[in-house]
This record gives sequence, structure tokens and C-alpha cells, in this order.
Amino acid sequence: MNIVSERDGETGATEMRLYHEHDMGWIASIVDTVVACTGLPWRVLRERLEHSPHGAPRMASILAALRRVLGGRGDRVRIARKVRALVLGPPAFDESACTQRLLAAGTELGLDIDSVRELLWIDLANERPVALPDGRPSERRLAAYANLDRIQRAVRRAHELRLRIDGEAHELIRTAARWGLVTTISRDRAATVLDVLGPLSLFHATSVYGRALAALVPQLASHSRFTLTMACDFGHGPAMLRLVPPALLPPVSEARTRPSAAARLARQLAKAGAEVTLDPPPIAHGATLLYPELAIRSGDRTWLVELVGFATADYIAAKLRRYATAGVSDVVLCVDEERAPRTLADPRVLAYAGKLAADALLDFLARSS
Amino acid sequence: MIEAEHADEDPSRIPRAAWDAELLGWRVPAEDHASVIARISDADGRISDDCRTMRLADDWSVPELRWYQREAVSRWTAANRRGVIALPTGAGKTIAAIAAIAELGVSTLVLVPTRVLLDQWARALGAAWPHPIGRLGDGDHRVLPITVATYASGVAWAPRIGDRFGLVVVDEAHHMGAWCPSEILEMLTATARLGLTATPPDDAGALLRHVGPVVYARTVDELTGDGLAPYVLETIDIALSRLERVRYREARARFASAYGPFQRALPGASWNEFVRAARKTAAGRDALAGWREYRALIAYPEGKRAALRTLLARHAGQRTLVFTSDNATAYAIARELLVMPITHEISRTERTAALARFTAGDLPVLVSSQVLDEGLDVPDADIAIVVGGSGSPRRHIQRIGRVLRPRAGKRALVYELAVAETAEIGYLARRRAGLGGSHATIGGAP
Repeated sequence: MNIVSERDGETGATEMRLYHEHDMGWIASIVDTVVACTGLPWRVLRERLEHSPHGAPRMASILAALRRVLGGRGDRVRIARKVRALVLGPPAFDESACTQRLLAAGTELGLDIDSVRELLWIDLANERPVALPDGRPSERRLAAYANLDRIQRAVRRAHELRLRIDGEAHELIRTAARWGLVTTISRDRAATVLDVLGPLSLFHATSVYGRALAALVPQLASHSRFTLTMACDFGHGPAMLRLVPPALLPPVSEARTRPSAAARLARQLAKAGAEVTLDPPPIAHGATLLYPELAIRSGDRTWLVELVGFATADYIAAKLRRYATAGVSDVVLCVDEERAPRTLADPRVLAYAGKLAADALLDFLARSS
Repeated sequence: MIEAEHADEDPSRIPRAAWDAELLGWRVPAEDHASVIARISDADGRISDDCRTMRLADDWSVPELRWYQREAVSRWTAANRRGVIALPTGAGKTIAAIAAIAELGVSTLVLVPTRVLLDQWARALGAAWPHPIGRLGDGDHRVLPITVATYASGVAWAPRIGDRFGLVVVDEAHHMGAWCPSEILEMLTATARLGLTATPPDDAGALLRHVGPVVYARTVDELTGDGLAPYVLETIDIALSRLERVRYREARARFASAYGPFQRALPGASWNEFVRAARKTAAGRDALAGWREYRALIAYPEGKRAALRTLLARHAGQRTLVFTSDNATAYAIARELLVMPITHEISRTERTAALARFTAGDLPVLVSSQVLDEGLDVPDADIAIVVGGSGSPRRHIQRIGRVLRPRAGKRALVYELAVAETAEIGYLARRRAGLGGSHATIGGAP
């Protein structure tokens, strides 16, 4: 790994410049445009912003931020479809024919004519009207989401990335595990270092993996001291990027969460009568840290279980080696075949498709015992 | 995997061969499989070949072919079963391809651009061959002797199944090298290759390399009245209002004031290069705004609005497709007349329901900018109204083909609305060139 070999990857890295206080002026002019477009289709807002003098690359992130802040994602899909099915038909050539059609639909759905009109395109990302449910959006909030989008775009184009956190980073590590990222964790004095494979190095499910990796970025908001280094490719040659605080990001509470498969499995195992511990303490061996997700007591043995998401055969082999080096022999890696095709055949690997059932894991442990 | 022994052969001399240190063997693209085998056999080498091509059960019931379909299949067969058949939309390319598959009788992979076409092909093949049809895409992962795959799934699956098929059919083959990546074809051992398109691309490099040349082509006008319904193409001149004319000239002048000097300074520069340069200056941005403004103006001015209403009223109750130059116009028409838009934002389920209602007749008008152009199984329609479009002959042929499905006594009508004395007249002339031959055209007001 290039980043690993160059300690912290500082050499030749370009600092990522995020939006800060001094950007609030031009962001305020964007917000003025948004306010002026209230009630118009999003398409119109998008066109006006694209024509603005602030440059297309900036606009992509600002638009993504606006969609998040204003709830621009299409919603109320079902009712909108129902309204369209009732309202759209043969051409209505005059105002009275249109009104009649809308009224008839309203009667059928128990809505007034204005609601029918409003709902007609409400689920379509570019046709729904721009609405400001909480009034004029804050420039700072917009900047924070635009920053988040910019970092997420970069990680989606990464071959590899290294995240160095000063202090503990359990939540970040658990988030990486929850999203099934190909991660190696180590300690460097008081810092925790996550080396994560980027989507461009995976060769399968690249965009799915890119989205999963992007889910790690919001967690950075809870760390005041970190260094994120990325080896990226934006289509014009390799680029090394570096990000350090202060970074204006949305609060972690607004981050997308994902239900923990390990927690679900732990509940099922407990129900089946197994003695199970969720998130047992990490295992440290030299600089390496291993984070099993479950510890299952079976007779006089305690099995450590790790759920592996995206993986390559090399990654699984390396993980097994690290457990062996740390002196842990009772370990099971549960590998999702969909996200990790052509998995390594090993007696410590339980390959599964879909959801891993507690019974399947208990059977596997019984056989392995 | 081919294992071969021959003392005199130096594998590095095989074209496109590369040493694979992991495999400890020589790698060549799968599409060279047959030529490598032939080369080693010619040199009396010993070969073991794991290729899994198989014969198909011979219990086909292929519908009777029309004269040009028969001609097309026999030309393709004569061309060593490699090449492209170019027939207009609605002329029955699928049936011709099914006849070719039946005649050759080997396991076949059909590559299609969209999930809708995947379903359409699987149904057509299932109707002609009484065995299950494999599907790759849209949530299906079933590989069978005849398998239909979307381009996207084809890319993912080709490394695993590339040796199973003797024939590959590429539908909408003009996308070869772009939407349909060349890599898929490189990863297939199939020697027989059939491309299908209504509009062969001008730059056919990838298609030529991986599928072959156009071996048979017929234009819309050659098949009109026989394989396709006869049609009348009527161009309606639209005049801008005085105010619109002033706005058009002003916006066009703003655009030309930056575009003209740029073209003179960099004669070979592309449109994208102009856009990149224009964004950097206030004058450039103003020119781009002018460009968008005049295009939006001619996309749907008052004259087109009035003409569209007249035409829809004249053909009330008849199944009509309205084509626009952009989504904004499609939605503007949908909002004004409360007719159904078909755009990429409308989900597949809703589109399917809308097309079913279109067939049933209770949704007689559909309006779209691009989605109806190709890749969607659009039911039979009688009228096409082209409110706006680009100069692309390919797009125009695809659009017109939507109303040319033959039916007893049918005479399709195609209306083109074009704003006089604007850039639209140029687009009109360019796209007309693709229809080939003469056709009835009537100018004037609707």
C-alpha cells in the first residue's frame, strides 16, 4: 500500500480545501437564489445555479447539500403515483377541463384541488417544487453538507485511504465493520490507524462499495484530531489528497446509520440459548488491532466471530494470519458470498448468502469443535 | 482454458498474448479462442479445450419470415456468421435474429441495453423455443443455453460464462464501444456474432472489430408499405411571435458573440472545450445563458403550443406519441394538457402501467423527450408529433419507427414542428437525411 509505506502519506499530498467561514458570502447568494425559486420546480433552481458564476464543480456539491438540507429527495411516491393515475389522461384543452379533472381526482382521494396540484409531481426529483419547510436554510449547514459531499465524492474515487485518529476510534471502526469495508486497523502510539481499501481497488461491486465507504465520512465530525489521506483517481491521473481538521461537517446525529448485522445475530443467538457477547474487547498484537464482533461461549471454548462484508481472498487470508499471530485459534470469519465472491476455502471461514442465520453459525461452531 | 503442446510455437508471437504470472500461462482475449485453436491445430499441436459451447434442442417454431428478414439472415450466414443487420424500428429485427439462432442451433447469449428489452427478448425467445430462457439482469442470475443479459450484467458475468456460447447477438448494436463495452465481446469465445440496429453508427470501429461489418441494411422508406406501415411525414412551419423573435435574436447574438471568436481562434475545438472555456469568464457565461435561452425558446414557443393543441384535437382518441427536445418541454406539455410524461424519473412500474393504459386507449397521449426513443417496448401507435429534437438521424429514425408497426389498413402520420428561420431548420435537414429516399411531406399550418 502506497499510503502505508509513506508514514501518514504526507509526502506529495494536496490539502483538501473545504468550505469555511470565509465562504459564507457566496453561499448566502446561493441561498438567495433558492429562496427566489420557492414554489418553482427543482429543475429551474438547478438551471439557475448552474448559470451562476460560482463554477460547476462547486455547484454539484452545493446542489447535493441543498437536496439533503431541504429534503429534496423525492418523497410521497405512492400518493403522487395515485394522483397521476387519476389526473393524467386524454388532453385537457382548456382550464375548465383541467379543473374538472383535478376536482374529480380530489374527490376520489379526499383532497382539495390545490393539494392534488401540489402532489402531482411531488416525488420527481427535478419537477417537485422547491420548498423551505424550516425557512431560509442556514449557510453554515449548507456548507457542512457540501463539505460532506465533497469528501464522499473523493473517497468514492479512492484506490486506498488511511485514516489516522488521535485516541480511540471504536465507533468509527464499528461503522466500518457495519458497512463491510475492507479495513486493517493498527495502533501508532496513541493514535488508531484505519487502512481502508478504496472502491477503485476492489474490482467488483465498485459503486456499492463506494457508497458504503462514503458512509464512514460523516463519523469524522465526532473527531477533533484526525488525518485522512487518500490516493484517488479522478480520471486525469493519480492524486493524493489529505484532510485535517478543522472540517465543517454536519453533526454525527444526522448521519445515515445502518442496522448492525452483528447485533441482530447476537439477539438470535441469545434466543437460541447461546452465551454470546456483542462487541468483545479488541485484540491487540503488536501494532495490529483485531475487532471481533461476537464472542460465543461453547463448552469450555470461546469463539470469536467476525462478520466480513466486502473482501478479497487475500484480505481474508491476512485476517486469519493476524488472528493466528495474536494467538487466537478459535475464530470464525463469516463471509457474505455476494459481497466477497470466490472466498478463500478455509475451515475457519463460514460462507453464507443473504442473511446469516444463528442456527447455521451454531452448527458451524459445533462441527468445528 | 486451452492446454496445448507444440515444440515450435512461441506463444509470445500469438497476437494479443500476454504472460500471466499468477496463472503461469499465456492469456489471450477469449474472442481469439478460435483463431488460437486454429493456429495450434495447423501446426499439428496437441490441444485440450475446456470450452462449454453446446447444441440447442431442435424444436423451434419460428414465425414465418418476411422477404427482407430472410434476405438478412442469409446474408449474415454467407458473411461467415459475423456482421450487423440494420433494419428500421418495427421491421422485426428480433424475429430475424431468432431465425438465425434457430438455424445455427448453438448456445446463444443475447446482449440488450435495458431491462425492458431483456424481458421483451426473453418472451420472444420463449415463444419460439419451448425451453427455459436464461436471464442475467433485473435481479435474475440464471444462465441457460439461451441467455439474455443486459449490457451491465454482461460485463459482470462474461468472465465466468464467456466460454459457454457459440453465438452472441448484440441488440441495439450502435451502442457498441460505449454503452455496450467492448470488453464483453472480448471475453466471449463465440465465433458467430450478430449485431442488430436500426441505425449503424458513423464511427463503427468497435462494432466492426468485435461483431463485423453491416451485412444487410434497409431504410424506412424501402420497407414502407411492406414490412412497415405506410406513413406521411408532415412538416409544420412554426412562426415565432414578434416578442419571441426579438428574444431569440438577442439570445442568439449573445451566444454568437463568444462562440464565433472561439471557433475562429480554435477551429478544431469541441463543444465541451468551448463550455469549459466559457465558464471562466462573465462574457462566456452570458453566452452559455444565451444558448440555453434560445434553445428553450424554440423548444416550445407559443406557435408550437397552439399547433400541438390543434393536432391533438384533430386526432382525439388516436394513440399519439409526442416527442420533445428536452424533459422541461415534456413536463410543460404534461402540466398544461394533463397528459402522461414518460421520462427517466417515472419509475418502471409506473411506465409499465402507463403503457398498458396507452394500449387500452384510456391514456391516448404519451409525451417524452428521450425515453421513448429506444429500449422501451412501446405499443402500436398511429400518430407521432415531433415537437422538438436534435439533428441526430439515428434518434429521428428510432422515433418515427415507433408508429410504423404494420397493421391492416394502417397509415401512420408523423408531424414535425419546426420553427422557421432558426437553428431548428438545420436540425430538421440533418435528421431527414437518415430516412433514406423520398417520403410524402406537406408543409404549412396544421
